Amino acid sequence: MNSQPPAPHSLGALMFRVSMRDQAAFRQLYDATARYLLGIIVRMVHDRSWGEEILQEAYVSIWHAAPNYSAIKGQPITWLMAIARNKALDALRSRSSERKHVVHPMAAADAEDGEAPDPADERGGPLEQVVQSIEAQRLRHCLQRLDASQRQAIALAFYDGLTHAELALHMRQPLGTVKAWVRRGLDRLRQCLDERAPCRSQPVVLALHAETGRRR
Amino acid sequence: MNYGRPELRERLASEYVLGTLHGRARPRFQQLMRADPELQARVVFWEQRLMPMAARLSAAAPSAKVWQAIAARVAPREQAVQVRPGGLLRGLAHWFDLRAFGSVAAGLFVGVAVTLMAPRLLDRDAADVAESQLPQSYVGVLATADGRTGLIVSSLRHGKVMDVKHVLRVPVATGHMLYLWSIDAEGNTRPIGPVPQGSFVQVPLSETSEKLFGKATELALSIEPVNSAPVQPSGAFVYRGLCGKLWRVRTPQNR
Repeated sequence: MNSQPPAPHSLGALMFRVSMRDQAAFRQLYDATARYLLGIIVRMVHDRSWGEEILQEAYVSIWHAAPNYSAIKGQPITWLMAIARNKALDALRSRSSERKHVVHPMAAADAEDGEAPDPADERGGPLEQVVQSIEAQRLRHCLQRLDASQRQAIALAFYDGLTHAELALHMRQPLGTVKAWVRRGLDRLRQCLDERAPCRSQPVVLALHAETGRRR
Repeated sequence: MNYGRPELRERLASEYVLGTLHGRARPRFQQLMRADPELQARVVFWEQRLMPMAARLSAAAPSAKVWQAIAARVAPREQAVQVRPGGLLRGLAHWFDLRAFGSVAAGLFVGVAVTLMAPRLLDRDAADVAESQLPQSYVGVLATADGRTGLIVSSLRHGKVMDVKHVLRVPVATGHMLYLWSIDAEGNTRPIGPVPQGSFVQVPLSETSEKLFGKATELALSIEPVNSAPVQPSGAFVYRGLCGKLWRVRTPQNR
């Protein structure tokens, strides 16, 4: 398996071929991205074996959804990550029992299962090149501007897939308080990211909004 | 709950992507999103905003059995045109142009189609051309992944017949047929109908070309079981390519 993170443009080329039902390209796409998607999934479900089952479901979905993928749906890696996270979230939500790590995240032996990484940390992560460092830097800057409690709530929800109730339990705060932290944190994040968005990314989505708005 | 309120839609989209929608709220939102392209666009926007957070996480190499299980589940069910891995640039140029193309989806003609079908138009100042050289038509040029033209489709504006020229021959197994699809700017796939074999065939349309091709930004061809009425492609797109309107669309400046 290739140890170098894939370049965004090479993922785009692979996605195009996968959309044309090219099995060899699908294998290359898997080789280039599976370890990153599994990293995201295992972080959320805290179980490697279960994580591999979810990864399998994610790539089967990727194969079937690929003909409907277009660049308007975002960068290929963003689209792949979103599918992996949604599969992990669906798997987590289907298990009714509370997860042990929610209240005692540091109890896990594996360091990766510990506290959520600080998303505002200046040091770049292993996938930085793939998601395009400019995007990661913009997000980091905006996360730094949030209150610490808002940032922590968003990080725990994103990395560990915690629900509002699980966040309240983990952060030892009333449910209403953590809900407000998440809501206000996301709102401030949106305002900050939109202020700093590159001009070219806006019209595409605005045009899409205009198109769909006319149809309704 | 009034799902028409923009601030509520924005909050639901952001919390769906973050993952904090739970209980019945999550499947309810997913169901809502399926029939609501504007909501889908908000979700895509939030995915672009939040996914860079995952860049901080460690990678974890999956065991070999994961790929084996995936490969077994996506094995091809029918023969498709062989796609060569090299020479992708032309095809990719079409595909990625969708980003810009989406913003003018209701607009002008497609460069590829014009280049192939009416090269003289490119040599003239559009303002000097009172009428186009070809009748007002929808035109689609479908290609393999490496950019080889496979199929050319055209239909008169308001027409109920389409012309189909097979440039490459597609091997189709017994009991199967070629099937044409339209793809709109949001990537939604809709069936158009079966395409008979033959170097140049005329195919009656079930509805007017306006209805079938009006919102299409792309066309694609798959192989489906004979006599089936598929609502989604069963697997293989053998060709895919841009579709456009080959007529002059007046802009506010030249009115």
